[in-house]
Amino acid sequence: MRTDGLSGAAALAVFASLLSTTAAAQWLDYPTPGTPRLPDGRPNLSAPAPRTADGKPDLSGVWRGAGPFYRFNIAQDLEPQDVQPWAEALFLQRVRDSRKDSPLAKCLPVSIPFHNFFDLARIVQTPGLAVILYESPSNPHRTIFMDGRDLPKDPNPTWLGYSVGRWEGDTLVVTTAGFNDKGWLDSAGHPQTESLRITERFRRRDFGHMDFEMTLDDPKVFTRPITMKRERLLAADTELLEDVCENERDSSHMIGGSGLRLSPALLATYAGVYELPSGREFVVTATGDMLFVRGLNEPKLPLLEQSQTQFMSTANPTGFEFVSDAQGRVTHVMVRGAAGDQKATRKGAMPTRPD
Amino acid sequence: MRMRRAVAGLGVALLLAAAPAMAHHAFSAEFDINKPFKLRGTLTKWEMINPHSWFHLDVKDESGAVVAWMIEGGSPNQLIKNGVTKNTLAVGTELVIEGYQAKDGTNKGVGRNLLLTDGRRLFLYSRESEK
Repeated sequence: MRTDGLSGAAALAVFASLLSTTAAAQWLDYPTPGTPRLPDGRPNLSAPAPRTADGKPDLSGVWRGAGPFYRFNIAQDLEPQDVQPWAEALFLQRVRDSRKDSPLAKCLPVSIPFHNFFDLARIVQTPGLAVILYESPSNPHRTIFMDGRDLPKDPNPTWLGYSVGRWEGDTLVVTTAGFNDKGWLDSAGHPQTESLRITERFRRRDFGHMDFEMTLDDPKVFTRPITMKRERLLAADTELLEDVCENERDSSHMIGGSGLRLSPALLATYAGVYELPSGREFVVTATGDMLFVRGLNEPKLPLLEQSQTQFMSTANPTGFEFVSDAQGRVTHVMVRGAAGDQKATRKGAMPTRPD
Repeated sequence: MRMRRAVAGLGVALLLAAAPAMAHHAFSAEFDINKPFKLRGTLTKWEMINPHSWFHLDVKDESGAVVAWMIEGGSPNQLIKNGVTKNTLAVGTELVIEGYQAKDGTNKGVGRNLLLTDGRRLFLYSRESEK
């Protein structure tokens, strides 16, 4: 019986391998040696975390970014008083300019927070140091020294800074400083300065799951250290690809914002809860002269003004047009995107605490 | 917990995942959602070079004159991970491309749908959200 099951699985595996005949499949889907497997050959992501000869957890492997939640706007959990006014103003300006001057658009490196939330990263751990390789423009890497050295004093500022690591039990704690002020903390445009210090905590719970915590301490940008906790998942049986940003054909066509500024009073009339035909809701909020949209469990995203009633997502090709009745009350918003036009009916004014 | 994650995934899909391309820049910086197009033309060149794939197309306008267009697709790495190879599409292939034109009015756009003339859809853009 058991033999039958195994041979069935083996036959399936052979069939699957016959289907996967592309060069990419041979390279990108190659089963990583040393990966614990289920009877059907899939990686056993709940197996115990591997350990090195000295008994420490071995974080080595290809890991996915921690998801899009903070990628666009790293400050979305924060209160207005948590962000220094100049940093908030610069953030809003970059949003209005459709982030046309972002490092990413210019083929320059993206920041550590951006990497942590977005790209595939390969961690290679040795007793004295760990290296993190990123699949992102210019394929940057970080070296995390775990040999007891201190961070450099007054180092030359760099994009990804200088990192040292130490173990707290089974958690690798990485401290990084020595950043330049050119990096953007998120894709929407929160700035970093040379005073930035990042603490990352990596705890590999089992073979396929890692608890990840990141604290950003940049008193010139934030009035207090901010901490984000997410889970990272192992990307089993895959590989990083080269990503040299060599064929940049967009930046010469980029146009900044519309130059339009709408009054906070007008924007306040658009704030509210809206319901799509599917029954899903999203919340529109107004902060000063900028509108934000947020769906259930989604990132909070700024909306760019295109006219008195039309707005554009800063994240993707989705348009929002607010429609009012004869009395000037906003009744619905037309959401225009790749899925076609959808009418979202206004259900009511703002909840007191939308987040 | 499992349920929560599934819901979160759907939530992200609503406002984030409609992007036609894994872009290294904001759609709104370059393309105009109010300038949608549907072009039919012949592929003259296909660039699979980071940060974006580009499809160069000869399109006949109303007067019969041939106009060259270039259409942005997904990042090569994303396409490769979706199974695309350099042999997926041959120069000379007739294509129908739906997308949005550049704000500056040049014959340049971003692809939303790429189809063969028999209606078969080519997955040459990524459904994942923009960076």
